[in-house]
Amino acid sequence: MKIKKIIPYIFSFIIMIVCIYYFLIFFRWFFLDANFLGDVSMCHVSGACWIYVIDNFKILMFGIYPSDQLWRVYVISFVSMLCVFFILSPYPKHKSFVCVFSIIILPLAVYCLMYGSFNLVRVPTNYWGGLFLNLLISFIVITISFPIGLLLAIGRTSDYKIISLFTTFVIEIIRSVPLITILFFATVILPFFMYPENVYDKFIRILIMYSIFSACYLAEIIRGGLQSVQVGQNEAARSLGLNEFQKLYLIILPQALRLSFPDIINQFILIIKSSTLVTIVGLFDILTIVKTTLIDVKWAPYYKEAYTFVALCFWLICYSLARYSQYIERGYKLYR
Amino acid sequence: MHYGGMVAYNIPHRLGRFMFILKKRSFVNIFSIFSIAIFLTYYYSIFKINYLNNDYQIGLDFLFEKSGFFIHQSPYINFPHFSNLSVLLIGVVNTLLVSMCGVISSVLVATLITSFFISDIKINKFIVNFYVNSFRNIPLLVQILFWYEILLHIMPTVHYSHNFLGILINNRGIYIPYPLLSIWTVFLLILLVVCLFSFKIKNFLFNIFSIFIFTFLILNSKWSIPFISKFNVKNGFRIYPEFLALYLSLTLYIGAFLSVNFISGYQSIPKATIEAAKALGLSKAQQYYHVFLPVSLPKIIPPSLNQALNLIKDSSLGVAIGFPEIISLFAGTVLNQTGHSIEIILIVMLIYLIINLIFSFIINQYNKKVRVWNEN
Repeated sequence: MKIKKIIPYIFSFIIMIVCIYYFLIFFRWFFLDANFLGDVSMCHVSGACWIYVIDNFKILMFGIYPSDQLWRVYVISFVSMLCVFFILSPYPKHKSFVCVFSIIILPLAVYCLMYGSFNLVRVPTNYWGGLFLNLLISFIVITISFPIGLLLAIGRTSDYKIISLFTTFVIEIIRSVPLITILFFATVILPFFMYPENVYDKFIRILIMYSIFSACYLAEIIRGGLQSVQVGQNEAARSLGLNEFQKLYLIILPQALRLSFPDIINQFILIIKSSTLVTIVGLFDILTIVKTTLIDVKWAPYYKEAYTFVALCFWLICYSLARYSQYIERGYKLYR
Repeated sequence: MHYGGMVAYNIPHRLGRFMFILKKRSFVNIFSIFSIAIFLTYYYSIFKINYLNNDYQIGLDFLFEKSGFFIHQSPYINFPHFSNLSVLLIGVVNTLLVSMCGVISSVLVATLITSFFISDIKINKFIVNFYVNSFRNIPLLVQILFWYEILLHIMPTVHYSHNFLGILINNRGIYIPYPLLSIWTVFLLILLVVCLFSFKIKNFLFNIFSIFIFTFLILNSKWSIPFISKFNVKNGFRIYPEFLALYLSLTLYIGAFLSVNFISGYQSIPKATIEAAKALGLSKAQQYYHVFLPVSLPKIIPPSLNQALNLIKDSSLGVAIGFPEIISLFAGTVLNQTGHSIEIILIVMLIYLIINLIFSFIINQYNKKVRVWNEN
């Protein structure tokens, strides 16, 4: 009887020791034996060579954007970080203003500053790159796809048969297809649907298709929230004499969005993660830059450091977003 | 605000009722039909201009032309003079193969992680948290590239390959010995299958006859055993590093999501049920099999099937490392050779659509069944 009780402890003890052993090996490689300063030729084999990251930091972050024009990138990233900070802050002061700003004005500002207008030097989109491009794509896609997804969800639940049929058709088809085919669609087929004189840039085509894609996923999530709102709320709103728009805006949507909040944040995390797929269609995002730097003989042996750095960057962003959603959920539970 | 048919009954005149319905509902319907039609015709007109300007001809004839290239990593033998359709088929089979293996092993990983979570020992929960939070929040593409580079660099070259019970491991993949098929072995295999199904599967291990046939099969058949020749390893069943990297990363990535599903399914069991099971004096295995599983499975299976679907869609990332999979073969090589971009992308989308429809049909059937269970 006693031996039976001890066995799982022994088992988990062994697992723990194995985990600690591998963690120590990793920690030694990652930090203790790692090289932070000096030249590449000084790097030990046993430790990580973070000189790769330090030397290539500018390329990894901002790609091959011309270095004398980098101040534009700094401005845009600072403003969008401020926007994200204000949107995510738990105090709802000036929130609607910031949301409108980030949906309408920020994309225009990105276009004017990054691409170049008003006497600025023109920098085509194939010079944009790095982690900045990933975050830019995911930020724009999130801000554009959320309202579209909301509209699609409302359309799918509406009583007008034709609207609901059309939206379900679009949502189901796009949801059943992997993102890569959508990106291929954007690069290969979408030019057929534009006038040959002004075919949009590849970057913009990818943005369009990617935001439609994620809007469909968001629509499905929001529809789940809409359906789980109690029927009594709907009837109460009608009996108060609210019209359809007021009913949606004042009563049903706040509850539905609150119910589907964790899933929406999960979708945002997914959007950020799968923004790395643009490397397959040939944009200069962080993975493409890592690959091109690893072609160089000087940096070729440091593939581990490169990919660990990329993974760490994405992990930091995604994990902090997940923690944020848990924090907000706790607030909702207290509120009830 | 629309009232539907219900309120319209109160209006006495037929004409008035008709006018009422016409006013509200059909105006919106007609308007939406018109806007969709205008949208479609506008883009069709642009498409027609582009189509007439380029000498591009839409048609499926290219499917029956020669493919002209050899695929090493295919489930069956193929030749360059096979048609493009066979290339498509190889891609589909490879996709399904990877996703089948990935689904099975990720379910195993998830059950292991869930059993860690269920146990009373607190250190195990730390391991669960670490695994789930780290692998869920790193992009799949980064993981795939990372494992691929690791497999290519850490494995030894051909002449220094590890030999493990006749299995050769090097940076060109894993070579496994396998029995060659002859009439005699096929006959024995059929006999084995008949034995397995004629007796109860529970008694399989104790069924001396089938064990006898199995050993006979292993000893009597010719084996293709891998060996190192001058430049390469010859014979043996080769598992390519691309497959291994894709399989490993899909397993770990989807396993993290699945284990979250499983854990939340376990947590949804009411505490009183667990206590009642303990009070009945059931052992841990009995509790698990008779109480936990039937209570939590209806909540676990639909999101898990969704994850399986995600795995099939995510297996398309094999393009990044050159795994010959439906997109890299058909939307990559064949598209570059023939140039029929529209048809090819649409065919690929259609295949994923069909797979998705089959899965969603299964999910719906299961949900209906669960609803019946809950009502009774």
